[in-house]
Amino acid sequence: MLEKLTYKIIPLISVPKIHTDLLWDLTILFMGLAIVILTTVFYFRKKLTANSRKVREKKKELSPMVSEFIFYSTEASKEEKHIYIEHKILIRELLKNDFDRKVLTSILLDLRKDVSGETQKQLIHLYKNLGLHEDAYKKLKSWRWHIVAKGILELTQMQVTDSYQLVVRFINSKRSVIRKQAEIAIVSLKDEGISYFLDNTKYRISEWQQLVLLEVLRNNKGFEPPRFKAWLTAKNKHVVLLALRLIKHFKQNDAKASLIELLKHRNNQIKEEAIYCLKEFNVVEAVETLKLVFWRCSTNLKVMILGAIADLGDSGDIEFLEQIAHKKLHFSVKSKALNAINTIAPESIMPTKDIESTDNIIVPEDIIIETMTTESNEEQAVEKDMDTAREVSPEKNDALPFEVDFPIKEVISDENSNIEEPEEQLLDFLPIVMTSKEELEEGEVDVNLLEVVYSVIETTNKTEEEEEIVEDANNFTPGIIDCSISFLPIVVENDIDNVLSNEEKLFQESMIDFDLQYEEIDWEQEKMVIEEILEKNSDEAEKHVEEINSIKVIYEELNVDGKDNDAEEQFIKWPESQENRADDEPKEEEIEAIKSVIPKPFEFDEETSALIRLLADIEDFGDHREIPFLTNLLKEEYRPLIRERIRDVIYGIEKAIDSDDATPRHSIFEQLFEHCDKESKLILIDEMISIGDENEVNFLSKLINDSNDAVRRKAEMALKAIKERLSKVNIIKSDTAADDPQESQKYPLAQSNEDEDLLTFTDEFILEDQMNTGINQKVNSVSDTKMNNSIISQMISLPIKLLAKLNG
Amino acid sequence: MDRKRLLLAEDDELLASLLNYRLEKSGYQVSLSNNGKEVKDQLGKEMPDLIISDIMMPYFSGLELIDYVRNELKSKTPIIIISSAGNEENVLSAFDLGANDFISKPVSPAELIVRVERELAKNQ
Repeated sequence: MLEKLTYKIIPLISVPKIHTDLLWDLTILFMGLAIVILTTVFYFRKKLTANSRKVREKKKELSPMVSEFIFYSTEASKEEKHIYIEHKILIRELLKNDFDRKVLTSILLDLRKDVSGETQKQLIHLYKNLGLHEDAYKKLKSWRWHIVAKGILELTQMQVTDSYQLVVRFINSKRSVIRKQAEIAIVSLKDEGISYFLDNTKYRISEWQQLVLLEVLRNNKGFEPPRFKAWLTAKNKHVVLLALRLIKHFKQNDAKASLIELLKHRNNQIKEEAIYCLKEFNVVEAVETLKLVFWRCSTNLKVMILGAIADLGDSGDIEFLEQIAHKKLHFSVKSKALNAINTIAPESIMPTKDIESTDNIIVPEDIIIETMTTESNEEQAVEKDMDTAREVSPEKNDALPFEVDFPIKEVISDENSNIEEPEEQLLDFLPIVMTSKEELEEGEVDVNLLEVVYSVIETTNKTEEEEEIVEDANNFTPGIIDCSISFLPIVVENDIDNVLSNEEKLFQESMIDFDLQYEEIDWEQEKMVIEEILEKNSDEAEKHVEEINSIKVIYEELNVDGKDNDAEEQFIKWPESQENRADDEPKEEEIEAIKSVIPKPFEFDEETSALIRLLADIEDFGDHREIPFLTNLLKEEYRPLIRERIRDVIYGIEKAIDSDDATPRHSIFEQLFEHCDKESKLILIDEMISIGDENEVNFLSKLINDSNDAVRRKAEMALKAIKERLSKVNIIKSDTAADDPQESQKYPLAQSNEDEDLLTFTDEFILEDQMNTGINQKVNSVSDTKMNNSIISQMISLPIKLLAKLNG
Repeated sequence: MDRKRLLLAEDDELLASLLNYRLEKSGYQVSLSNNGKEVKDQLGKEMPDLIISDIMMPYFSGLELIDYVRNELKSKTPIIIISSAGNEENVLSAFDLGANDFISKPVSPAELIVRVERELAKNQ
């Protein structure tokens, strides 16, 4: 075959000479490598399989235990409780093993997704209770990003709020996975997390992440959103965008001005969101800004803005929309502008595309005749009315209800916009033949071919312009009226006439009635009647006055003592006449005389005022301790008023002391006696002998009649001892009284008590202790105060003390 | 008093174990099945008083199970379906096929108990 070739093959590349042994060597090498790889693969596969099997088995083993912990209740049976405790011990052991901990964590995380309600709460509680969150904390410290992310996810799922501070530092992590996980975590762990995140995030927040965050917030029960307008001023545009979305979601319509301002933002997404918010909150103030920014926006945004204007705008914005429709803009923008016009003023713009002219349609006469014959008499009458309506005068037209929804105004065409004046022939397409709503919707409007654009169409529901419309209607020539309102249901006219005529009749009837009633009232006659009544009344009044004057008044002597209060109260002071008052008016001299009798107000100097205040305070809060001071003050004071006041205060205090002394004396031992045995009672009586006073006399007298002999005898002894002691005290008291008769006269009891205590206790420290314990507190305090306040009393007390010591 | 027999068909072993524990604690006798084949076998042997089935199961889905019980076994045993949230189409299909009730994941065991009790009460 090679011989038949016309060309010769020249071998350019020669086959390299390879040693066969080398080939074998290579073959063996690659086979060896393949075996190694396959072995490794099989090994790891087997290992993984074994591991997963081990995990599965462990899960099987642990899952009933977990169920036991989750559904354990304190009302469980004894057997259940026993099992629970066993499991508890077992799980504590298991937790020491890392593998078991991992499996347990995995079980809880898996179950958390599948269960809800109380079970989920129990599960989370169990997770924390077993300290598994500590493992998650460890994961946060890992240098491997996926482990950190896993740790954050775990903490988020298990709602470990304590981890918030640990997670927060990851929100600006360079690793996007960690960052996103941390963002979700802080938003879900704490309510304030969203605020912290918006304040601190530096990175881009992806659309998906924004949706996730929104979802997290939405599902966060009891979440109280902060006012997100605070972040509309953020430097990070993604934060602004998210804030706008959150504002819209949580319907926070308190940032209208900021939203309007954001329409001017360079970022189209922010503009879009701002427009959404403005539409959502129906911020009509934004329309002007929307018109302003319109020209610098992209096509999509222009369409959006027009949509917003359609929602927020009014008839004043139609001009702007018409301008847009005339400009050389994208067809979708023009279409949207027309759409907006129709939204503001419904059916202002009519469909033009593929609308056939009706001029050339020839209606066969026979059909007309046929229809005429088939028409009912009523329809014929309507037709007749229509004819008459066409000839209606402008004056009469006023009375008609003007049913034209959108009176057409001829608009001066704009030269720049290349718009031709619509010719009369072109009016054929106008909606004289009304299409159904469905047809209108189906009809496509080719804006570029639109021929009818340039007429302003206004709604009749604009009350401000109704008069203009009516005027225009009046100014129509008959021909135009014929043309434009020929389709109107003139049948209405008759009805209105009927209604009007009926109403007019009713009105006239009512007027007749009214006139009749009116005629009955004669003014002159009425005036006379009124005058008569007035005269009659005045006569009667005079008669009454005369009657009153004729009543004899019997004067009785005034009760000067003023005891008859009822009579005083019943006494009514009648206003006196002007004349009487003039007679009784006192003269100036008399007034002066009276004034001189009235004592002038007495004004104290500062010192006296202070003293009076002090006395008042002593009166309110003072006790027997103030008496020496008051007595001294009384001696020094020369002013009668103050002296009187001091006496009053002293009297008040003395009275209080007397009332205190009058109270029955109560032994402190009495209470102790109630709850103790015989031995204790005897000990207490011993104590009474040593420290008792006259307070114990009564109580001991009672004990003399005690059922127990030992107690009775001991009480008798004690009573005797106390009485002896008291008699000695009385002797000393009389001595002291001789030294200071005034004092002894005033405070006999106090004096005696003071001496008694001092005599009873030779040691002063013991006395102090006794005073502190409250025994004879009042009396002691009196003596104490006296000793402190007066040197004389201290001097007096010195021999008494000495005497007391001598007496033992 | 006889314990009511329930068949729990759930491929997630952990959830099945948890629900099984809860149902048994409430006094029911529960037999577990991790896949459709097991369910079919068990139903062939004995018809339980109520069936709780996950809608998504290997080999034999929850919908197939309902169809099998209603059309082949001609049984009126109440069936409660466990479905994932947002799986409305399947839930509607399940109702069309004759499921009595459904509960969506994540499952509240307490709610499931109430539904089981209600269905059993209806069937009595």
